[in-house]
Amino acid sequence: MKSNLRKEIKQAYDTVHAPEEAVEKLKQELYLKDFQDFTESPEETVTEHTGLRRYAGFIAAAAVLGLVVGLSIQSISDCQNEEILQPAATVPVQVTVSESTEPTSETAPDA
Amino acid sequence: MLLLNDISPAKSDIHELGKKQIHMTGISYAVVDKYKDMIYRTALTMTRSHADAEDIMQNVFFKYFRLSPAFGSESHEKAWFLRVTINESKNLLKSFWKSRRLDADLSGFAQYPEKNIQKSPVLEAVMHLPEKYRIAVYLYYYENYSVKEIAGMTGRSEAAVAQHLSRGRNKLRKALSNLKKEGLL
Repeated sequence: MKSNLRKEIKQAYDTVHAPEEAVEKLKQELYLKDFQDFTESPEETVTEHTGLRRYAGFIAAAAVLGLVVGLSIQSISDCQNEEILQPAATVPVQVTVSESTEPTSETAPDA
Repeated sequence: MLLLNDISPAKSDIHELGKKQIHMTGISYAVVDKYKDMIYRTALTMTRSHADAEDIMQNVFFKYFRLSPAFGSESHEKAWFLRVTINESKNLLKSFWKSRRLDADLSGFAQYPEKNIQKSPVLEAVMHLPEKYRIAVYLYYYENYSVKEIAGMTGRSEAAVAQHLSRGRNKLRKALSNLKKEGLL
């Protein structure tokens, strides 16, 4: 019974084949892929090219991150170096002097 | 004549562009001719759809071409193709669109004319089994793999595979005996 089942399944699946049109289309696409890979990077080894592609995104992201951090540090240090404007110690004030009032001055009289 | 075992695209001399192109194209076609039917049958068993089986076949060969894996033996190479085909089929079945389809839907299997597949009641009986039983029955009876090897390929335990095989076999025998009674077999 076991061998009958195996035989029947084998006979059934032996009739199943990949469609010729699908296989031809696949071969054409593989051929084009071959050609494209060649013309795009003829000087690189298959393994190196594969490695660069794999890490290209990571390297780009790291570069952008480094740029952002660098600019942030730069702006922080620029802020720290800026001179903070202090109000002047003496501000000349226009004082109208009249006979009835004592002259006043912002500056303290010399002792 | 290029021999499959002598060539590995990853080790080709990069400076000899012309030879490499011939190498790559020669390998691709030889491998396609060797494994196309096996991949198609496996994918069809998993998905029960000719259109999906074609897509999976393409994906598997693209993956092979992209990864250029090195194999110690032909059996290792065959097992790699089967494992990748099963994984690609599972991924397709898990996708949102496919999960909407009922398990009993065989429209994808029946839609093709008989140009690449003869109408077979035994094949239809296999296609009516649940997916876990189908693939176990196919790998065991057609590809002659052991329970342990099937467990490795499908990512299931040996006990589970043995159970699927046993249940699948029983269902299949029942279906085939009914077909014989009806005179269809």
